[in-house]
Amino acid sequence: MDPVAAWLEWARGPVFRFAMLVLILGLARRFVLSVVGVARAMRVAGVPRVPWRAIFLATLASLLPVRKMLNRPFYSLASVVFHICFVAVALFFCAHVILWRRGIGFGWWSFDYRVADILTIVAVLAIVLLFLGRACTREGRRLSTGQDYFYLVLMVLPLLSGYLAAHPAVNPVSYNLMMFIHVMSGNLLMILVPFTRLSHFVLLPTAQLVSELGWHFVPGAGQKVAVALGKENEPI
Amino acid sequence: MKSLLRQEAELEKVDEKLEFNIEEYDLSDRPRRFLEAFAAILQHTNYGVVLEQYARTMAKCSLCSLTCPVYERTDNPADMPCYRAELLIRIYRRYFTPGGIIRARLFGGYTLTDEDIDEMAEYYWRCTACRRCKLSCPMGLDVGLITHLARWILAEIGIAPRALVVSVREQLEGETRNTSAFPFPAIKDSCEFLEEELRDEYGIVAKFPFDVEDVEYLFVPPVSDFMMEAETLMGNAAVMTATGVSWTLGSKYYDAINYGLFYSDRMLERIIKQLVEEAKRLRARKILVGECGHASRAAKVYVPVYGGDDAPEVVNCIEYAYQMMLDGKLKLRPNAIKERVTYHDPCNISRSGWIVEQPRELLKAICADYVDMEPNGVDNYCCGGGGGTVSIDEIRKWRTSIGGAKKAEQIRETGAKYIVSPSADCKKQLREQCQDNGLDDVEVVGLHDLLIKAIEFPDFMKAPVKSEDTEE
Repeated sequence: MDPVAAWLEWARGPVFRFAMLVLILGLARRFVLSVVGVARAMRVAGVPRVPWRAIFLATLASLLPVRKMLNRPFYSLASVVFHICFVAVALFFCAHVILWRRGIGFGWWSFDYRVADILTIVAVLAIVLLFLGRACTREGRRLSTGQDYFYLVLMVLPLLSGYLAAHPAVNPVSYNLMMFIHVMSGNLLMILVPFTRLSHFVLLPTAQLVSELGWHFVPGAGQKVAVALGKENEPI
Repeated sequence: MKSLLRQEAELEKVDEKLEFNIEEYDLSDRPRRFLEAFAAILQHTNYGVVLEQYARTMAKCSLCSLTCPVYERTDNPADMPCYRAELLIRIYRRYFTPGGIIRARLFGGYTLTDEDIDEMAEYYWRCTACRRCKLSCPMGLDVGLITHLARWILAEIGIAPRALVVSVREQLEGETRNTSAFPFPAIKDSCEFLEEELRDEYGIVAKFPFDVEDVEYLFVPPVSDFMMEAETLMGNAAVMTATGVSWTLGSKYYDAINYGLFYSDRMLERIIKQLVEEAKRLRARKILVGECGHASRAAKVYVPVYGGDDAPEVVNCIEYAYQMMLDGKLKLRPNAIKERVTYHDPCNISRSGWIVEQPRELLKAICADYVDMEPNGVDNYCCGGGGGTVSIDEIRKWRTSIGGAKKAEQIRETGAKYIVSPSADCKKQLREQCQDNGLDDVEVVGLHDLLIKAIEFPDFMKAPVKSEDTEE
């Protein structure tokens, strides 16, 4: 058997299962911890009720924050387009849905290769725009660290390799090798999500509440801090 | 594409290092004491939850920097809100998260140094805490909250502007219990003088009642109003008397100013408790805050938090006047003010959307020529002296030429004669700004200054005509 095919089986099998496990458990842990944190904060601050409706609406609004996008319209548009295309291809591409069906027993509606092609190209272009937005503006250059650029590369690898694997005509290497790169880069992405900024999507609901709650200070905290630092009797 | 094409020469880039007075404190071992203070604060407050969230979701997309008035002028990368937040968050990550601690053990990591503390002291006090950044952050992060926290930690190790500390010391530990150290007899004299002015200039009888018990409103203005904003206080008294509601001032506590909001939650709590104590002493049902932005916000948000379950409700005097106008109890003459008027939104009452329309409706009811600055309301620009920086006289040049430069441009564009600014701090900053930027014919006034000129006083307020006028 072609040695790369063996590697590919390994990547698709144990490594994929491991990555999926890490992704799901990690995200669940991240979400639960943030909810617990907010609940504890509410209890300590004495806020009685959770404004469910407000959080729900704010989360929806933050998914497409039109007003905030007007400052940097192209960058914001690129970001939104990228998110939509990436999530759509990952979840609804027919080849992926087949994998789901095999793995968990059921699938869902999907679209075919042509739609996926278009979405992939658009997503890659959006990433290029995001990269330019980081590297070509003065603010972006000064603020971005290596990690920020790394995420962009991390995102573009599965997209590009998936596209090339599906189009043997433009694929410079063998199908198996390209698929190996595709699967492994996807695995790497999944493993990194719970440990990095990439988990932001699961923190969106609590993000809305936290910024408001942060201003609701804890009564008596100041005095306890003074006692902890041994300053309670010090004059100002 | 504005930011992609912006040229270096487009804006005049000015960047000065801030220097202001702080009281002497122990200079040794600052990093350790900083971390101790940070740890104590994290343990007893909810800031840990906020930092956990922000450390994981800050994307460094730099959208916040596009709306920051300070960064717009200085173009100094450290003035970008997300960069400035990172100064504190990297310390949190390195010292207070398990991942950060392990990573530092394995790979050697960032260490907090004295220079870092100096950098934080500099940049967290360049921020005016106007919170415009939170409006443009796609993740909804409030970078102003990080500034607030960082300033508290710095204050706990002794780094806070002397001007603020001295004022708070007098308010909490001094005899006079207010930030300007005015003794009560001086206040009483000033009020009596104002009562005479009301009679002489406006022909009305309006008193400043002190220590009346069981009233609807305890009125607390910023204490500087008693001596420096005669028209505003007269306007307050006129509105309260004309609407016929029971109100009083307190002889034991008459200062709404709360600098704790700017630099220390510990002081914030103590000052709020003093205020609530006075309201309870006089059995006032509500607290009416005078024309002061940060005092209104401090009272509105923190009296319910620190004042206990039976804390009185807090109302701002503009809200009150607006409600009275709607109810028909405050009759206003249209077109009473002929000159062009514009309105400056104090950040502390407008950013949350609390007081945006009310003053505009009041002004439109009395002005012949009212114009708005753009942007305004929830999106307004800071006057330049927010977050307590206005009290630091040493940095006046910074405030008027950098922090407040955009505001000066806005004022010039409107061509207004009167700029209404219902906040004592903003008034000081705007006056200094007009002086330093050549806007000599612009007059900075409070809202009640103009209201009093336009009220149709009910008959019971009109002063009886004196037969002999020897004193006038």
